[in-house]
Amino acid sequence: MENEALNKGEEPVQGYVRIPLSILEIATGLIVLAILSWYVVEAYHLPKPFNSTDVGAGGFPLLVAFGTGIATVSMIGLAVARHMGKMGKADSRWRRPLFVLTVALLLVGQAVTFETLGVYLCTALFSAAIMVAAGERRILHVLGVSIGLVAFIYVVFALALNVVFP
Amino acid sequence: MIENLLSGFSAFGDPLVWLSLIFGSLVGYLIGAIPGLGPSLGVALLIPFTYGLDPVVSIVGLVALYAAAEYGGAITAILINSPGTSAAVATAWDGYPLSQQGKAGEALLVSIVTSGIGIFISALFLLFTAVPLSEFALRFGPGEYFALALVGLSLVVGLAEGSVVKGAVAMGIGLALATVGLDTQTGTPRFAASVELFEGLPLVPVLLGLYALSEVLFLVEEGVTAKIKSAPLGGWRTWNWKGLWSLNGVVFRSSVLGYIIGIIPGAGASIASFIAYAVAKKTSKTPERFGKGSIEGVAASEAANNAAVSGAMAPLLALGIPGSPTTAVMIGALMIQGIQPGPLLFSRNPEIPYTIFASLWIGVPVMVFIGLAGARAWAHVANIPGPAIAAIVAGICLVGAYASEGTMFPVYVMTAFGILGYLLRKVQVPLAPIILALVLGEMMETNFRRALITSHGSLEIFYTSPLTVALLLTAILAFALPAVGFIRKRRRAAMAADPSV
Amino acid sequence: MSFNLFKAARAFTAVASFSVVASLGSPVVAETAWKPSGPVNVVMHTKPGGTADIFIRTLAQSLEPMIGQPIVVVNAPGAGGATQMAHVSQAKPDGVTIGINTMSHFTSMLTNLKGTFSVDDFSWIASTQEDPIIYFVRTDSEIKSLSDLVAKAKASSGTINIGGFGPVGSMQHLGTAMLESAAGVKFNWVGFDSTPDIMTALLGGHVDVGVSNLGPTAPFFESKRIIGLGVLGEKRLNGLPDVPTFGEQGYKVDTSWVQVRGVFGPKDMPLELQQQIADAIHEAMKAKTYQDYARSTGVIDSWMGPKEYDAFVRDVSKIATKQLEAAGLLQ
Repeated sequence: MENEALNKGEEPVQGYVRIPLSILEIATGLIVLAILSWYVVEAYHLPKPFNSTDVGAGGFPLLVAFGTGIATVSMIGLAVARHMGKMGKADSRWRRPLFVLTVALLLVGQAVTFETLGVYLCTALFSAAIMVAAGERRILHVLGVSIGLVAFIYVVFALALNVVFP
Repeated sequence: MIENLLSGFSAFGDPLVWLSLIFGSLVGYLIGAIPGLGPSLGVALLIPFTYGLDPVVSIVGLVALYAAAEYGGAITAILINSPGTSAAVATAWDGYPLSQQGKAGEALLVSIVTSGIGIFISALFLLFTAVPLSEFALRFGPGEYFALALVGLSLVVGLAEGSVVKGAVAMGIGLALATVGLDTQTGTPRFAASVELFEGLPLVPVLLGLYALSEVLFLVEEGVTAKIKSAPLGGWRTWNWKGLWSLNGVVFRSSVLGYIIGIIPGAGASIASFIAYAVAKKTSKTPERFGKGSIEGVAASEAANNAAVSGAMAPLLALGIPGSPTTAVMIGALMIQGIQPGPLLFSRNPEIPYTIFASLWIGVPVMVFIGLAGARAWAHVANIPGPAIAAIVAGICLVGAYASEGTMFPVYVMTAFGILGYLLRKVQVPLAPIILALVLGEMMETNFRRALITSHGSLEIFYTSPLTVALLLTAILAFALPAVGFIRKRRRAAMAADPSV
Repeated sequence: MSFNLFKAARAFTAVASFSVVASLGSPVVAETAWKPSGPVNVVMHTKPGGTADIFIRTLAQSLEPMIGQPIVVVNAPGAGGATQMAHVSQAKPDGVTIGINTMSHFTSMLTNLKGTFSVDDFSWIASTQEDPIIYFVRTDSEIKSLSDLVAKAKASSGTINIGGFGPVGSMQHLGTAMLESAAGVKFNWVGFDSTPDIMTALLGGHVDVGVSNLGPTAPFFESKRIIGLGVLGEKRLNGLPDVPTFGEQGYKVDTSWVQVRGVFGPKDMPLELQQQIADAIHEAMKAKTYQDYARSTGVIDSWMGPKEYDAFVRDVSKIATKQLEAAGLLQ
């Protein structure tokens, strides 16, 4: 993301990034349009239907892509207009971006290592890590929650429901 | 009928029936509350236990489980913004804000009471209208289903907060996501890079990701901040009885809506709760509070999704056609017991339908009792500090997503949608239209194409049936009204800003 | 997705399922050579409540006590059965994960799943049922017999809507295509995802003719909401003695084109294990609970073991190829 207007120090909250909403909308709109063009190409190459009265596998997706395309272009248009200063501006605040990024990576990590670490080790480690990253510094709380979570998962999923975990 | 009904109630003279009812309610409550597991899975899990039992005993347990599981989804929706089923999504819209305002206890109380009333009212309707309304539901052909899906989608416009354009983009994304998988008419794979995607995106992991996991990242943003203490749920003397009573209109309308939508095979509890929520917002005196912590919103969604349980029973009992995935599993359970649900059920095995009526009614107090006892304990969850909640939600979502299919695929889907949900919320793209479009997309496309095939390519199927026309008009009105309001507001704002216009 | 509810309740089930067996008058549970190492996952290609789904859930009652393990039905629906086949093909060939297959598996491997799965990717363990498909209409329909249908189709040039299970190229669609070529007419195929959806559409008058196996339609026949036009099979059905076969009405079609339900597993499963599984399943089919169910739904028991079934699968794939080619669905 573009860090256009960085923390100017008006707020005492630890590190936050402020990005004009219109810039974000334009960026999102462009990404959506890029994905839509792939979608359209794929839909276009889907086989023709056997039944002549069927619109075919690609018909409805093309319709959806058309409508979404118009909506996305208008979103970009409105955002550009707003950015040029015609209407009121708004900012999107990304607080504690580094911690959020860390936790996002932890979420990916717990999904990726779930099979190799096994359910209990994985949830224990990652829940503790997420708590620390979220700002919890009391060791007992961190330990208590991760142990409690593992116990809960064991009792409900393994004992009561007999789910087979990796 | 009175005689049969009495015999239905007389089944409860057997302690084993009570045991089955209580066991079913407890299991349903638990399964519904766990993100990733839902009523149809719960009923399927219970079936092996019913083999050796009397049909009446087992059907009571299954019905109790179904109703309680449909309620259980509300608990996690309210407390941690994790609707375990798509039917509880609308509950989360207001339930979670209430919880953040320290009103978790009140929200839980309202959700369980209105769920109970929803079942009670709809079961009464079921008794008198199951047969005629099920016959009426048969008039829903492909054209009507398409129009119904459109009505559901049109409500998005009324629900989406903020920008109408962003709501439309979100709806488009949802519809596009709904087309992923094998095409139902030609069997061709579409936009599916791997075989796992052939079945389409699994709904529950997407839900968990967009709502619960993205909330984890928002909790991280908050860090350790002083939380608003949740008011403990006191004894019944301290409850806001007047406030509860003032919900009677919303609850009644939502129950009736939920029941009727539940009858239409394939529509189900999630569409019922979406529509009831939208109607409640339209008819409310304080529509601006919807989405920010409206008790009415919770009441509408919960009354409707539980009323849909009775609704789904109607075509099952009257015609032997399941009204929902859960009742489809129940048909299997009944057939294993040697009971053939169908048009002859009322004359051949009257004890079964009347026991179902009886167990819906007797089940209500049992379910409400369990729910109230639970609500007191659950309300404390809202007081757990943010970082701990974040860790717990992340862990439970991980395990729940895995358990929903027993493979890693839903876990990856959930994680990806969690991060996507966070980014979308940051750009203020509403999530509700994505979910609604994902739920309705397949129904819309399949029936649109099926309609054209049955009409041999002629569009007249969409304007010759009065039912289709009525539904389509409703959809157009629902699409147009907010747009008109939007333009008018713009014009007024522009005039205020620039008096020369 | 292998669950079982509370442990306490499991003991209860054990007692309950034992009482079922006991009530059948066989005090000793038949021992089978198949001893799976854990709960057996049976992966289904349908939603819960479909014909094949009820088949395995009923069979589970007598199979569970024999093998000493619970049967866990895993529903993995998806057009053409790809989801289920992926489940099965990725499993270890240890007999703990097996699937139920129908005729659609063979046709889809020739069409939409061509290149994804083939007959060689699986072990074909045993056949269990044959289930001819029937064609039926609402009682108040003008069409009363197959000749009415053909006459009407001729008059209205391809605008008769026939609603059946699966997309174009599915088992029921090919059966319809066989009738089309035998009678020299054209129908309009409307694909549905489940049999209850077909019944809803037929009873609501949204399609003219419905196609299904007898099981899910039996109550509608009994209550005289629908009447049968014809059976695609060798003989009339015991459960529906008044409905003539296609052949009796003068339409010559390949009567081996009946729905088959069998058991299959991942490839490279030892033949010995396959034989054990086949024997256990066939033994379980002899139980009274299963027989009662099978007779009431009008299916015919089928007893092919791994060798015969594998040969049958290859045979039927050839017939399917021919049908698909005739219908112009194979490029």
